[in-house]
Amino acid sequence: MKKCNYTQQVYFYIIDELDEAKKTDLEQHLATCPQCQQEKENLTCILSEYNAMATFEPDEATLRTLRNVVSLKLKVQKTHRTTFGSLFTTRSFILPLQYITATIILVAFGFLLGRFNVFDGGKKNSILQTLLTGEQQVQTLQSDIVPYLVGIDRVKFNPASGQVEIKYNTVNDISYRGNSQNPIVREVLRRAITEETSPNIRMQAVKTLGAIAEQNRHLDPEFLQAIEYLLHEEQNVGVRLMALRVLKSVPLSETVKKMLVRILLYDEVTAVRIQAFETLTGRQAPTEEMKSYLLAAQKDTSSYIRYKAGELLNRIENNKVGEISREE
Amino acid sequence: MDPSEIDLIQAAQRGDVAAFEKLMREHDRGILKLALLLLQNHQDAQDVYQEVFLKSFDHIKYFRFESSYNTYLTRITINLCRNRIRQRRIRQWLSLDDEGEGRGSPAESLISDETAPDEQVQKLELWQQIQGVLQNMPLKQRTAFTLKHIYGYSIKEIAEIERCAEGTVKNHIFRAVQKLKRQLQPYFP
Repeated sequence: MKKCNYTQQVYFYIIDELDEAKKTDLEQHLATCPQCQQEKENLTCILSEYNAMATFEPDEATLRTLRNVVSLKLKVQKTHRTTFGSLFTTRSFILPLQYITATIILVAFGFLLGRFNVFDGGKKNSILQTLLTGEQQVQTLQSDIVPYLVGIDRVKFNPASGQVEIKYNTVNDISYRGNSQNPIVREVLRRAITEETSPNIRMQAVKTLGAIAEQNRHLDPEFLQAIEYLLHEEQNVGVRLMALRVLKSVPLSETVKKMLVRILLYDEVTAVRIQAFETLTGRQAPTEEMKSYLLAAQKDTSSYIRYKAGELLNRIENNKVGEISREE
Repeated sequence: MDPSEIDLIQAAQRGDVAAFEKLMREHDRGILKLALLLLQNHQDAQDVYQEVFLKSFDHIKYFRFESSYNTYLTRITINLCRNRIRQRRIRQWLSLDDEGEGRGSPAESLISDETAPDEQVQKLELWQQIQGVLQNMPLKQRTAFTLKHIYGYSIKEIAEIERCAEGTVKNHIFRAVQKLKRQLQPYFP
């Protein structure tokens, strides 16, 4: 027998979940369809039987016991939450708290010990001071310790005070300050440039030199030597570029020129060569003596350097023509 | 929602245990019954009852009065029953728990001394048949059917409790009824 399309709606009609239009429609259909009438009768019977059987109620005594148990647990829970002391009586909190407290005490003790030098009566440790400021070489049982480079953390020049600050990477927050003429500062700076392993510190030291050169418009020969060494040996391109910028602030002496020309001709990094080219040519009008390296620069792989060199050579030629015509 | 119930909830949100106990007494009968119908086990149902109210007290501060408190409790109960059934299946699968569904079921409460023995057997047999069908259907169908026919929730309310579309609830109930009808056909003319 073919199943009636309305059969599915019969259940929802019984549980009163049909909208008015569908309800009216189904009621009209029910009057004529025996299949749906049978469906309605069966479902009503099953559901009423189920409802009759499921009218059991939970046992009152069980409910009372359960209520008491829950109430008791709630009261215990609330007491634990509201009393701060309960933190210490709850087993799960004890161990972490002990560990945390012990750690805090130890860290604080170590910090105070280092900060205020408790066992030394507050005096500065002279050996440490010597070691850090590099006044002399320190010998231990095993080896010599190279001074000046015991963990420099920061090198900074303050243009306002003209002081160089060298901060050491120690718990005790040790730093050394002095002007650029201070021999210890000069030595530390020179060694930071040439011997420090961290490129960050080398960069800071070169920047500091740049700031000193900017202020004084001059750089002492020992610093120039350090820069020359750096340009020759430094692997870090950023530090080499910074060293070239330092040279922008100092007069274009023969030593400086030589350094720059060597970079222009032999350095592998284009950016570094461009920086050297600009430092070399940017501060004076093109002259006859520039011709030698300008001609070499015309063979550079960088189109920028080639173009600029060609332009400068043209200007030199034009100047020469101008001078001849003036003489005539 | 009844204004006095709102006051009780607000007091409970401030941590008043006595107010919460009053709320509990108003709703706990239905909660225990629902847990019993879904879990078919007295011990599990009592455990869920305790969990429902302890959890509800913990989270009552987040209750936003967007639904009735009874709906809120029903939703917690259904979720906890689901977890309990999942745990029970795992335990059975691992053979840690011999007790299946049906032990300590509400069927026991149907038999009273006043009923005639033949009638008792027939009634018990029918009830077990119904319970058998309900237990073999997916929990979502069982829950929707129970909420509709024992608690009289509308389809819209069940959708709100179950957090699903009304069409989905209709589908669940309809399938549950069809299964019941198929299994119980021999008992009815």
